[in-house]
Amino acid sequence: MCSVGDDNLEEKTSKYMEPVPKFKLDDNKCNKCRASTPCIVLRGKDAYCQACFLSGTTHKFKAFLGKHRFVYPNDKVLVYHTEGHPSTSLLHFLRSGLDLSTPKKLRFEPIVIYIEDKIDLSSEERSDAAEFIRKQVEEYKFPLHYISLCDCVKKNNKVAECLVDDISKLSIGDNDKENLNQVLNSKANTTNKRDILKIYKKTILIEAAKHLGCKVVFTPELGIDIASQLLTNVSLGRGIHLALDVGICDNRDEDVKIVRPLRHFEIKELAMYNHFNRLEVVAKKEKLENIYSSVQSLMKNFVGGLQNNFPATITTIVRTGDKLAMEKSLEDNPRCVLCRGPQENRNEELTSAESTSFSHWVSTRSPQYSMTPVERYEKSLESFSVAGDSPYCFACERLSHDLVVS
Amino acid sequence: MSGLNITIEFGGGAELLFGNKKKQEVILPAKEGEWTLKDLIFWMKDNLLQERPELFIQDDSVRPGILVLVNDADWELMDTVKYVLEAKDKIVFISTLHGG
Amino acid sequence: MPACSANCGKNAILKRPKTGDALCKECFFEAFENEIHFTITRAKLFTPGSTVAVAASGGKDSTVLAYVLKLLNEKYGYNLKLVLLSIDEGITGYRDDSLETVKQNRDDYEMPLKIMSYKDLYGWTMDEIVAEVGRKNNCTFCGVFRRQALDRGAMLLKVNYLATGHNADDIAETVLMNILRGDLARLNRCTSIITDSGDGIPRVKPLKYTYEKEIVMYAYFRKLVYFSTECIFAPNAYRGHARVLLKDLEKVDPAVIMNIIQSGESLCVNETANMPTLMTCERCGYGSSQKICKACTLLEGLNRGLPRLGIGKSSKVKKLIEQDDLKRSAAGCCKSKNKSDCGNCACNKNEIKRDLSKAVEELKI
Repeated sequence: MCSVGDDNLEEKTSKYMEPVPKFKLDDNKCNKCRASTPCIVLRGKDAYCQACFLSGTTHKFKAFLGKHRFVYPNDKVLVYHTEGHPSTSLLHFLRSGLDLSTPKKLRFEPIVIYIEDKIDLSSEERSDAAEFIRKQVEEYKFPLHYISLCDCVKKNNKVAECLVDDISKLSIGDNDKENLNQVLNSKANTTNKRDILKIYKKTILIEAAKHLGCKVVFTPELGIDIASQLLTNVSLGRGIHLALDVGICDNRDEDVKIVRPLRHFEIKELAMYNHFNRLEVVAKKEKLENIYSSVQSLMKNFVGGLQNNFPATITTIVRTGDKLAMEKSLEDNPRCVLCRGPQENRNEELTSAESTSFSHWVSTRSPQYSMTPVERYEKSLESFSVAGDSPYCFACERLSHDLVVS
Repeated sequence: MSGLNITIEFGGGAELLFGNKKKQEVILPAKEGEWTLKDLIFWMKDNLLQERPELFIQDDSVRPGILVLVNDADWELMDTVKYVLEAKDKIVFISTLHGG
Repeated sequence: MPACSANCGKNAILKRPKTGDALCKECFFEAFENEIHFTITRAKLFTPGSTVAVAASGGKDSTVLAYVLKLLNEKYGYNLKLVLLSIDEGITGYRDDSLETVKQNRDDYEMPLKIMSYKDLYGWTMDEIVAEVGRKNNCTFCGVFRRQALDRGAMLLKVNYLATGHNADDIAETVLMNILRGDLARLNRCTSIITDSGDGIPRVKPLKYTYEKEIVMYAYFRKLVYFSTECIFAPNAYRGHARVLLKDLEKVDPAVIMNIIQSGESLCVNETANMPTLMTCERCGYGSSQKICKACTLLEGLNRGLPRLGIGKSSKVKKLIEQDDLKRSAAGCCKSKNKSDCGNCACNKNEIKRDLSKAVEELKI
């Protein structure tokens, strides 16, 4: 049946999505200074000259830090570093911000961390990648720490034991894949594997930050990452923690905050920033993946595709994420042992979780035809009880089946 | 009529598809009519690309996610694939793949 | 063929997308129906002895809803009075067939049927509206009018509840759509199983946790009659994208639908976020975020021969009406659209033909 009008659309009925027409350069002048020739177009409509673009980009980064005040002078900040453009830009923003001689200089102390997690590559490729990273970070003169994901997971996330500051001590083993399988079910689907590994990495970052005396962690997610993560998390039943997972700041840990200072940037901006500053970027070997292999890849593909024709897509989704909050009533709830977020309230209202449990329950009870249908139902209900006191939140409960408990 | 000499550069990992050479000076063979960027892209696929064309080309252009600069300016400022090449132009291809 | 998961010994005939369990026909019927019963009782959807209007379009959702409600009402003694409520938009060819199906439902299920037409309620059929406004914005009219028609129909029938056939797929899709649109107000409300339209008759979604695929299978195996209808789909392109996304997600993991609903139920909007407040329409009393509700605005436009009134920014509505008023009083004409109704042309400002509140008055039972 036609579903127009179902939503009681009063204001927005005529908000059709019109694909944005291809960019047309009107007057060959930078939008900002109205003087120089533009060299870049952003969001299909804004043209900037090189000088305005570079200063605007740097300013955007500083403005984020200034607005949210997560970091105070002399604080130590753990910077999660990966290959690709965003991390390179981040290092450059930090270094140039620290080197300023004006009062506007940045006054905190970045410490960089590299999490070695490329178990699908050969040891040689992994060592080479780590070496590229080492060389790159060395040029920016930041201290660099390394940690092997597999090593850490094997040792039950005892980060302090696995964190090293010398690349020669970084453990890269040919058996890492098998070792990981001892903790994570090798037959788990890709969606679950990716979700679990993401949670592990977050835990590592928080523990490493504590160990190194950092109160804040910077992670390099861009707008597209935030938008696709938001949709992914909604699809995984993580609605309850959205404010933490994709909001401006993840403060589930009482000592360490995770902050995403590149969330309003798009990849083109940073790739161009790096190019104009002649920055060396550590390349990542690309694999074309089947978009249906996981919820994460489907969402990334979806958001990227929609953004191509409708340039407001990503900012709208990111802004929706910004306006979400953690429900006050959850604050004192027990924490999920996996993701460390507060668990859902087990309250009076019927939820999708309970309904799904009931469906499964009812689909696996042997019908006793000696009883009347009504009696059968009553009997099902009696023996059905919502999973009592689970140590996990809803979404992690589903993941827990893929964790091998030793 | 001699060929068209231009410089091609790669960044962000795009070089991995082209034998890891970050910079190449090429002379495009003489032909009827002009060399557009679209012509260049397809010429590169046939002559320089070492692996996996699907990571470089999509439909009649470069794959979304590959930025193209003409003499250090965004190709979106000059009609993208329709831009007509001139001698000594520098074309840069930057891959913007990044992990998630 | 795998065995039925309920271990009843029979062969399974389908695999439930909701849980992955394989069930035979009888166990599927029982599970399907019992889950809806669980939803109804656990969420306390109805008080015993109430009257419930079932929104009936002749489509699969409303047919299955009517069938199952009747079945459960009898089986578990809800003691509800059930009535079918159907809306006739006045679209030749489209609605005629589905109304025939609804009439068949009425006969098969032995339920009373009330058909409300746009003509009764608003004075215009969709065919007449399209002739007036063309094909570009006609869906706007139809959608707004239909939603109000159901609510008004429920009010006029003096029922206690209006039950609609929204299924799990619909709700999941709406959650995704509201995220894409950045509509926090709707995002906050769209997973509610009971919603108040602002005028007192709660809308209830007993099929909230029922998968569309299972509704189709249930209707097929129970041999229920329904009309598969494709109105030219709404130009609300966000919903189109959300629909495609949901179908793709199902390929990856069908459990995603229940996860999205769970997320929609458990997310929380920041209190300081800007959200519109609900008022009541000055003309007809319907719940609205503006002083005059959308239906009254659109009607005003139709009656004045200003078909674009209410399409686009609501801030322009007042201005357009004032302009039109000036034009008419300058021409010495009353507000009637048809000169022949004008009669004496002593301009009576309140004489708007087919005023909505008048229609409501006339229709009161």
